[in-house]
Amino acid sequence: MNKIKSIKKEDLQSFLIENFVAILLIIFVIFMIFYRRSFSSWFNITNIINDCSMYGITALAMTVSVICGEVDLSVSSVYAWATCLFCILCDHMSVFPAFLITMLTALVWGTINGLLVSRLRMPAFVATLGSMYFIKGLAYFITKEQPVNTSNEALKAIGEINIGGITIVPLVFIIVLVFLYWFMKYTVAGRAIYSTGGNYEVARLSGINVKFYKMLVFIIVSTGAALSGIMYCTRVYSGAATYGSDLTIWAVAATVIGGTSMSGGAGGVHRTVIGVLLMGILFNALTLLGVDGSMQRFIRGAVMIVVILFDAVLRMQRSNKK
Amino acid sequence: MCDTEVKMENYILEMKNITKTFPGVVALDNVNLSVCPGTIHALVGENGAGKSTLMKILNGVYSATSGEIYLEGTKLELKGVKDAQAAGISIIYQEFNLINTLTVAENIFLGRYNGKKTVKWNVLRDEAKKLIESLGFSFSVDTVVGRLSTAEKQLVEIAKALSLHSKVIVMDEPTSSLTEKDVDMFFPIIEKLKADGITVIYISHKLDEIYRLCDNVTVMRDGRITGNSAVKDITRDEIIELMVGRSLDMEYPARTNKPGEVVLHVEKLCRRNDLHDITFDLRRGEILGIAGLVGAGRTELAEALFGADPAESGDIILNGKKVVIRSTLDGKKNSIGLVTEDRKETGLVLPMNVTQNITITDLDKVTRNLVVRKSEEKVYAEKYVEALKVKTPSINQTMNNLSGGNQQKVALAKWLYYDADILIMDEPTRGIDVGAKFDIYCLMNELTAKGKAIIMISSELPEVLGMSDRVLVMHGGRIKGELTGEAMNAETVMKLAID
Repeated sequence: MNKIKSIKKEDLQSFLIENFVAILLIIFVIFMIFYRRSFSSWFNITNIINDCSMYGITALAMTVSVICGEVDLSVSSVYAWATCLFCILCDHMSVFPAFLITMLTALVWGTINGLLVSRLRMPAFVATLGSMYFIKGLAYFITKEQPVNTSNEALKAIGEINIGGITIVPLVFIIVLVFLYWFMKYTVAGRAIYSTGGNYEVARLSGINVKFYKMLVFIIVSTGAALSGIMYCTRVYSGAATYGSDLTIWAVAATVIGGTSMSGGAGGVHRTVIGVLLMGILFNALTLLGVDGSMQRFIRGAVMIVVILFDAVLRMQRSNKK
Repeated sequence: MCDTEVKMENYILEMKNITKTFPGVVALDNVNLSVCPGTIHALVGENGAGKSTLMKILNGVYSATSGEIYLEGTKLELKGVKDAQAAGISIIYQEFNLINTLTVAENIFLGRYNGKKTVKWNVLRDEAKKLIESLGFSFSVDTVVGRLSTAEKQLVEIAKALSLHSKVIVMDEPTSSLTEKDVDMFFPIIEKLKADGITVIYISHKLDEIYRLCDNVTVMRDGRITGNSAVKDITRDEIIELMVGRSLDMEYPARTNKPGEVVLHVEKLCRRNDLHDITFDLRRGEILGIAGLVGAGRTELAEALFGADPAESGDIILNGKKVVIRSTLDGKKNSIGLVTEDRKETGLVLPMNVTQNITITDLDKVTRNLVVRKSEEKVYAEKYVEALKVKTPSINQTMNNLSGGNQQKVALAKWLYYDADILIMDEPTRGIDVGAKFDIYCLMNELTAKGKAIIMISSELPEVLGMSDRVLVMHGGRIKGELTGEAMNAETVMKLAID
């Protein structure tokens, strides 16, 4: 009898630890519902969803790279680059070709990052830190350091799509989510990415083309960041090299909060949805509570550190158990 | 055993009735080691005989399950390396414990910078200089260790041991990474230590060195002491016999099938400094054993054949056709599989489950319309779990939760699933229990009966001799001999391996 009880207690404990963030989220939401009535208004809820799904697209892609054991620090620059290029192109052509060309450039950035890491064996930290400056520099260059606006009518029409308060951005987020979930769970490439992140040497010695998959994840992250940037353009019709400076930290935080461990090989894209929602709700709530911008940045940083610390402690506990 | 004028109680070091068990394995079984002061005492034995475990106990890294250690008649309670150092015992490992980016002086006094609040560098530098000079060398103590030669690094390690006022210094295969020239420089240093009254325990595979340098020798085998003698009273052949002279008491299933035609011909394979002119044949249905000591180049050969670390020159001819193997993808394409020697580090993705670890080698086989079919994966996973008698509650169990033997079976299963024609198995039964070993041997027989060819690398001589149709012995990155029939015995293998 005692034994059964203790097992159950352990199960509950591990359940609480594993779902720590989700539980925190629920408590926080309940608190906000009672504390600020405006929080639970339909207007505010759609606001949160529209807001967080924009960066959320990058967070989903970032999750793929974290599963592969890599973090791409250049996403903030790719995002800024995409807003700039897309807006410039939109004034010269229709939306679809502008979209394609922008995505294609993101593919190039991802390939460069990927080659630096997989072929030249640069640590991703260094390679993407470098390309972060490089891409941002180019974004400044093509915009002559000024924000660019577009008056493309079709883009405005897309931006004004509104289904009960929901814009096109959450729809794109869901499409990306479904695709990446399928990709990671059911395709050979997805499994190979898990294996490569789980243990690079084992994957290599199993005859998996590890270099290719390392490159592939950087392409996925870059295109994800560019898509986020284009989504931003559907709302503000402008681009600037200064946009999205907090995207990298946001995306990594959402990934880790969701429960994808920085050690690689585990986690899942679907988990990041919770991370994205928490980030969205947290920042919305901070605004509703009247916390000013600089203080919000401080809190974001603190949350990030606490979550990653938690991730590290959890991992250490697990490896001690072995 | 000490010279007649030295009395029994004057052993500087005595390890009495040392037993050490790891879960499921008795690593040391009632071992007694006595060392006379001021001597160089050789400790020899095959890989896995228990030398390193014994020395780790002496150094406080492991604690013995039972037994006692006496230094100069005083019983020691070693709880860690610091205790051993304080008592006067130092160990110099094969892989140096030096920080390449720090200077010689900083390394010698690492973690022991005397000053209470600030480091008195000039004092430490002077002391370091004295130590280096006392060994008969003079290089600047401000040199960064990374720039030193291997022999000089060895010297820094010795200086470090001396700075701790060590009475006993253990050297674990100190010459394994030294060139001939370095060795000639190195031996006088050890002799100088001896002349200064320091006792050296010298672990080595190389019998030449033992005859050149040592006073006494202790031989270990399977966690036991099998012999103790003054070096001058024992012959090489006697030492070898003590090292390997066990009966093949393990049961090996009988080999039934006869090897067929040549499937793999390797011609003058070379790579950097670790493989030289490797030439051999492998036949259909054959188990080719590769014996040799650690560092002989066996794993390196396996990696070259599979493409994990490709050869730089030489030919690999597969079924009469020359093939190019530049990567693991090439190896796999040519139907070669490699079961690596370290299942945890290079064999299995531990956080993933049994099924995923088996199908990792060929996902295309279970993929239809871009989707990896879980149902088909399940069929294969269940097939191999059953065939190899893998004990697991479910095929969805993560590898972390399986025992060593069962992990090893899965590491093997992934290449059976791939259906490789040539299977290279590096230490296929390391650290697994007898029952699982036997299962793996039977499986090897089944595979060869089906026409597969196996290259088995093993440090366990009885296994190599018991399972192989033919044995290649490697040493220093070369094939030193090919043994068949009567010549396939432990003494001959050991002679070739030790060189």
